[in-house]
Amino acid sequence: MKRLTMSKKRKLNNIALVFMNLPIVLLILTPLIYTLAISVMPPSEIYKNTLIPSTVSFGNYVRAFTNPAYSFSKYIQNSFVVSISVMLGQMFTCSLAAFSFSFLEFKGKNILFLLVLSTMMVPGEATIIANYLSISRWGWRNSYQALIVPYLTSAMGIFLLRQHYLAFPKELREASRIDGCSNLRFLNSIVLPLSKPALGALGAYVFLNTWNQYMWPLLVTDSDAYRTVQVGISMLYDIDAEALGLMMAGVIIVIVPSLSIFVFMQKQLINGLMAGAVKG
Amino acid sequence: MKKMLSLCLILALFAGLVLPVNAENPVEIIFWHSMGGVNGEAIVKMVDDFNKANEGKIKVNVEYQGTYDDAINKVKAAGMSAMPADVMQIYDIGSRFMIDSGWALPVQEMIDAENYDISQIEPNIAAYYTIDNKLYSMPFNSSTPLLYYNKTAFAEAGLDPDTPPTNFDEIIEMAEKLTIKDADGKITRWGYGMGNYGWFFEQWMGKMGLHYVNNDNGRSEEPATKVVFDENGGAAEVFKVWKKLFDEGIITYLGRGNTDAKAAFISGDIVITLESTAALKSLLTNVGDDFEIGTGFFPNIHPDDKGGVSIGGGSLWMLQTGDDARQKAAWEFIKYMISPDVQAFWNAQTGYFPITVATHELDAFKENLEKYPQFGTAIRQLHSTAPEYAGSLLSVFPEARSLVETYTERLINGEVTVDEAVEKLAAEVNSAIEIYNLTN
Amino acid sequence: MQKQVSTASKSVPHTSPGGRLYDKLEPYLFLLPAFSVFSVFLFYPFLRTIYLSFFLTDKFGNAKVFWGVRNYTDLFASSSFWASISVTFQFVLIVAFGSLIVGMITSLLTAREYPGSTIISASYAMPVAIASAAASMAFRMVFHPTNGLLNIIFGTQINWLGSPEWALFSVSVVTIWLQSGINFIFISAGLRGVPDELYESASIDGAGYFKKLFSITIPSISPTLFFQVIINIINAFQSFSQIRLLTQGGPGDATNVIVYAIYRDAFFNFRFGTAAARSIILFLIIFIITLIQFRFEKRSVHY
Repeated sequence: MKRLTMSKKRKLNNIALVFMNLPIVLLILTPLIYTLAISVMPPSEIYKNTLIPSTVSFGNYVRAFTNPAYSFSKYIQNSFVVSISVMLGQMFTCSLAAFSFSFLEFKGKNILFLLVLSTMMVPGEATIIANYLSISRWGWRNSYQALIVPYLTSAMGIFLLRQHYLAFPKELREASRIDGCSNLRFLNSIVLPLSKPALGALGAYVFLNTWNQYMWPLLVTDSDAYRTVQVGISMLYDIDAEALGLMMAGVIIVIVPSLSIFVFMQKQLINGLMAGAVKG
Repeated sequence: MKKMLSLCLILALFAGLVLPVNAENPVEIIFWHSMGGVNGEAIVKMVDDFNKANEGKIKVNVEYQGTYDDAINKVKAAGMSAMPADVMQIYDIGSRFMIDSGWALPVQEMIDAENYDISQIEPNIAAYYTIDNKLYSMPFNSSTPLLYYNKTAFAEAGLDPDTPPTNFDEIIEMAEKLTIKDADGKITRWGYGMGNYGWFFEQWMGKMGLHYVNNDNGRSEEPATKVVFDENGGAAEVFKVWKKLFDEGIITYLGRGNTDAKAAFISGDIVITLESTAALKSLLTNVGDDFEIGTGFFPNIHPDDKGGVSIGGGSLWMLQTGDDARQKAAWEFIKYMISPDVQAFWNAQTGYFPITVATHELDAFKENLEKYPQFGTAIRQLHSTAPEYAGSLLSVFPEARSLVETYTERLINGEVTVDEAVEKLAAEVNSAIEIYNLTN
Repeated sequence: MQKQVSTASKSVPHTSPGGRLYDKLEPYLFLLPAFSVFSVFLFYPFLRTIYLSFFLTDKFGNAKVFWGVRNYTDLFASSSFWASISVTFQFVLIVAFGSLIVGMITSLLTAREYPGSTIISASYAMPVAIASAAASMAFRMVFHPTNGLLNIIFGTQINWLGSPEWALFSVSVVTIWLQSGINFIFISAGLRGVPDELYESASIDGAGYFKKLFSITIPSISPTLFFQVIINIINAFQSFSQIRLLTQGGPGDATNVIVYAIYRDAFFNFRFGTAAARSIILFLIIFIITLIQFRFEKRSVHY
C-alpha cells in the first residue's frame, strides 16, 4: 500500500517540477528562438512585429555560405584550429602549474599564486594594445600563432585544477614517493588520469571562451585566411545597409558549433567543474 | 647522394624566392575596406571583375577590416611597422587624421603624373577631400543625408505626398497631422522620428552656413584649435530643436546612430525620418510593397537657412608603400572603382551616389533612376549645394561626434539646459583638441 | 593504485633524476610554461600600462609628454568618471547577485532527476556556449523601442536601451542571461555534493522544504556560492561587448562602465594615457574587492 502512494506522489512531484521549469526554460531560450525566427522569416515580416514566421526560408543561410564576400566554412575551420590549440595548450600549462602549487613546496609559493590570481583582475583592454604591438613587431600579424600563443595559459585554468588537485589525499603522494616516483611521473601516471573530469571541463570551458573571442581576432587578423567566426558574423552588419535576417542567420551559424560541443560535452563539463568546485 | 639532392632542392627553392619576379606574375595589392552586408558583397563583386579584367597584370586582395573605427585602429597600430595595405577605405571623419599621419600618398600626385582629368569627379564631393588645392584621397562611397517619408501615410492623412517638409517648422506641423493615437491616448504612430546621430549635427551647421571649428573650418594649413559652434550659436539652434521635439512629445528617443530609427521607419511606426542616401537601397528592399518611400532634401533648421549639406561616407586612400609597381597598380584600381560603369553598379546596389559626372549618361544608371526616382533627390541636393559648405576637418572628429551624441542625450533627459549643453560640449571638445595638438 | 605503487623499483626514496639542484628548481620549472606566457602577454603589457598612465600619448599610442599624475587627478575631478564608477558598481552588484540567484533557482529546480530534467538542465547551462556579441545582437531586437519583442508582448512603448531608467537594467539582463549558464553548472555541482543524510535527518525532525533550504542547503554550498560570487564579480567588471553593441555607454553615462570608458579612450579618442590610468584604477578596485571577499570568507563560509 505504502509503495503505491509513494510512486504516485513522486509522479505528481515530477509533473509539478516540469511545469515549474517550463516558464523559466522558455525565458532562457526565448532570445535564441527569436533570433532563429527572424533568420528564416520573409523580409517583409521582420519589421511587422511578427513572432512566428508564416513561411520558412533558408535563403539567408545559403547566402552566408555561398556569397563570395564571406567564407564561413573557412572561418569555422579557423576557429576550430585556434580553439582546439588553445584548449590543449592550456591543459598542458595549467596542469603543470597547478601541480606545482598544490603538491610542491617552494619559496614564494603564495606570492606567485597571488600573482596568478591577479592576472584575472587585469582588464583586457589594458593589455590588448601592448600585445598587438608585440605581435606586429614579431611579424606575427595575420597568423595562427597570434591567435593562439597569448592564450596558452590562464589563471582560471590554474585555479580550477589546483582546487581539484588539493582534493587528492596526501597519502597518495606519500605512497608513491616511497616507491621512488618522481614528481613528473606522479603527475603523468597518477594525477592526470584521475583528473579526466576536471581536464574535460577545463577543455570545454576554454574551447568555448576561445570560440567566442571577438576583439583580439579582429585586431590581429586581416584576411579571410585567418579570420575567425565571431569576426565573420560582424561582416554581415553594415552601418548603412540593413539586412537583419542575414545578421541573425549569422548569429545562428556561429552558435551551432559551440552549442553542439556544449551538448556533447555537457556531462563532462558539469561533472568536471563539480569535482573542482566542491572542495573549498 | 641524398645530401646533394636535398641541397639542390633547397637551392632551387631559394632561387625561386630570390630571383627577380617573372614579368608574367601579376602585381598584388591589398585593399582594406569597412563595408559589410549587402555593400560588402557589392565590393567583392567589383574587385572580382577588376581582377578578371586585369588577369596576369594586377591582382587585388580585398579584405574586410571591421567597422570604420576598428579599421582605423588597425592601420594605426600596423602602420608603425609597415603599411598593411595599398589602398584603404577610411571614413570622412578620419580624413584629418590620415593627412596628419603622413602615411597617405595624396592622389593628387598620381593625378598630376598622368594629367588625369579631375573634372570627371563631382566638384562638390572632391571639395571635401581637397586641402590647399591638393586632392588627398579619392572619394568613393559618398553620401549625403536625406529626409525620407512614407508617401502612403501622407496621402492617408490628407497631406500632399509629393511635398515633403523642408524645415523643422514644417516637420512639426506635418508630424502633428500624421501622429496616430489609440483609444487610451497612447501614440501608436509618430509623425516624425530620427536617430541621435552626430553626423546630422555637423550637417545642420553647414545648412545654417556656419563653421564647426576655427581656422577655416579646419581646412587651413594650421589645423583647428577650437570649436566655434558655441560662439556662432549654431549648436544652440540644433539643441533647441531637439528639446522642442522632446518636450512637446513629438518624438520618442530612438537611440544613437540610425539602426533603430531605420527599423521604426520600415515598420511604419514613424512617418518621416532622416537617413543617409546610402540607406536608400536597403530601405527599398526592406519596405517592399508596404508603402511608397518618398525622399526630400535634408531639412533646414530655420526656413530661411542658406547653407548646404556636405559629404559623408568614405574615400579611398593610397598608403605610402614605397613600392612603385604597387602604387601604380593601386592607382589603376582606384581609377577603376570610380569609373562610370562601376559607379553605376555601386549606386544601384547601395544608394551611395556616383562620384563620377559621366555616370549620369549611362543607360544602366538612367534605368535605375527611372525605377527608383528617389535616387535622384540626393543628386539634386548635391548639385544645389556649394563647395564652400564642404564641411569641417577635425583630428578628433570621432570623439567630437560622440560627445555631441552624449550631450544630446543629456539634454533630452533634462540633465542639462540648452546653454549648459553647448557650453560643456564645447569645453570637452576643445580640451580634446588641445591635448591632441599638444601631443601630435 | 596498489599495482602502480608496486611496480616502482627503487628502494631509496630519492625521487628525482637530477640531483638536489633539480629538486630545488623543479617547482619553478613546472611553473615556467604558464609564467612565460603570463610574463610576455600580461605582466609586460600591464607594466607598460602603468608607465603609459603617467604620460600623454600621441595618436599612435607612444608616450609623448610626461604628465605626472595629471591623468589620474583629471579623472578624479571629472564627474563623468565618478558617474562611471557608480554605474559600474550598480551593474556589478545587480549582475553578480542576479546571476547567482538565477543559477540557484535553476539548480534547485533540477536538483534531482525526473523525466525531462536532462533537456531542461541543458537549456539552463546553454548560455555558456553563446558569445556575448552574438547574444547582444539577438537581444537588440528584443529591446527595440518600437518593434521589439518585449514591447510587443507587454504592449508597452518602453525605450529599453535608450532611456536612462531602463538602459542599465536592460544591459544587466543580457549579462545575467549570459552568466546564468556557468552559475547553474557550478551551483548544481555544489548541490550534488551535499550529503543526503543531512536532509534525511532534517526530514525526520519534520523540517519543510524552505527550512531545509536555508539551514542545510545554503550553508553546505557556501564555498561554492562564495567562489561563484567572486567569478561573477570579476566577469561583471570585464563585461564589455554588450555595452559596446547595445548602448555605447549611453544614454549620457547611464551604462558607461569603466571598461567601456577605457575602450573609448584608447580606441576611439586615441588617448592611451587616460585609458591606462583608468585601467590601473579598475585593477586596484577589483583587487581590493577580492581581498575584502577573502576576508569575509574566513568569517562566514563553512567548510
